[in-house]
Amino acid sequence: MAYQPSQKEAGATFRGRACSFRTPGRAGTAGQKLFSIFNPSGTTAAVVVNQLAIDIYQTAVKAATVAPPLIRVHKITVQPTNGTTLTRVPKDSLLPVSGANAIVQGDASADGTSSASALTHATANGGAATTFTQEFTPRLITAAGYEMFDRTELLEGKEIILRASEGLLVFLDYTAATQNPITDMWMLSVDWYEIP
Amino acid sequence: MTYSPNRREKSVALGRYRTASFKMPSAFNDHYLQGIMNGSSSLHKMIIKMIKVDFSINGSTRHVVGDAPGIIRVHKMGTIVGTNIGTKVPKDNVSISDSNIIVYNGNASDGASNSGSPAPNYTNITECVAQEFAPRLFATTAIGYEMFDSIELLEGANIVVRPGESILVAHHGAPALAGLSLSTIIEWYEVLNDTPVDVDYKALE
Repeated sequence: MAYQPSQKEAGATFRGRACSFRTPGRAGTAGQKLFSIFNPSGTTAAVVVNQLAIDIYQTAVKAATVAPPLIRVHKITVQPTNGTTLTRVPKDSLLPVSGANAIVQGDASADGTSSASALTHATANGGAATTFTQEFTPRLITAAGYEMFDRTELLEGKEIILRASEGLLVFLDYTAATQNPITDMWMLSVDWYEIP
Repeated sequence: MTYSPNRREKSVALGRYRTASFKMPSAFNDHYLQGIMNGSSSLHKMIIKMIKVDFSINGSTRHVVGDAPGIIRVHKMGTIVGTNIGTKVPKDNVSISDSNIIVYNGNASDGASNSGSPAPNYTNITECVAQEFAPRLFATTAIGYEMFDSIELLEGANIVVRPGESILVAHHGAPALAGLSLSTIIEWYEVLNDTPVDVDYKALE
């Protein structure tokens, strides 16, 4: 869905985007924290998230009996730890650099390289109660035919407001290592603005 | 995605343009598809409205399942250098474009190999504003239907490109398959550097 700037953006002090590295799956049985944007405690700005896009490719087929992970976007109140802090790219260089208002973290430190310490947060499998939106992951089942451009935009242009001590966490909810092998590769990007 | 110009654009734009790349074959590793630079002497700033990419693969050279697809990335960066100057196509013939705004294509004609000079730091993720994995056509079969699937990478998010800045569309880490072809379209409008654009900039300019 098309995103249209809102009247609230009239007072934006920062408008930016950030992209993850190509992020390998982590297998395991407890899911994976892929990406987060967080407005730390003590800030005076609200972070308004407009877009959150995700894409995946798989280089090994999966049996039809292997369920795909569920991508869940959680609203969180504690900043994730570890992982890799990602760069905030201003959409207009005239705007002041985003302060400590929006911290973006991923789970890879370079394209195809997992962060030395995994992005960590208390969110666990089955956490529907704090989920804003969710979608099942695509699967490569037969390796036949054509894989088209299929990035998905999870927020559909809806604005999510993150006040101090609030954030969004993109979490893969799954319980079997075969659902998210290390050969699966993820990428994410986020678009937001900040207002006093 | 449906794009609708806002009222601000209609009232202040000096020129509204599109540019289309040539069809570009894949090349090993990183190569750039198309870039647009706003030279440092420009009196205009550009507002990038849309970047579309499409991709085709012919039947003779397909991916095996272990092939990772390339990544399409859009970078917002400083000056870029190219050799194949592209055409700015006005959406209205009375449009005015600053001559310092230059389109660079990755190749010189439809189907020609990449021949432009690579821009500096164009694999740097710190300048990335949008990204997407490229499609694949698997080698085992050529079945099914390939639908219209060009991707619009900005989804309506305006990117402001001031003098001394550029936008670059690149294809990273791609397998070099003969018969693989890419195309891009960029749409923007231009205003004087001191002209406010969009309601979202009113408080800042």
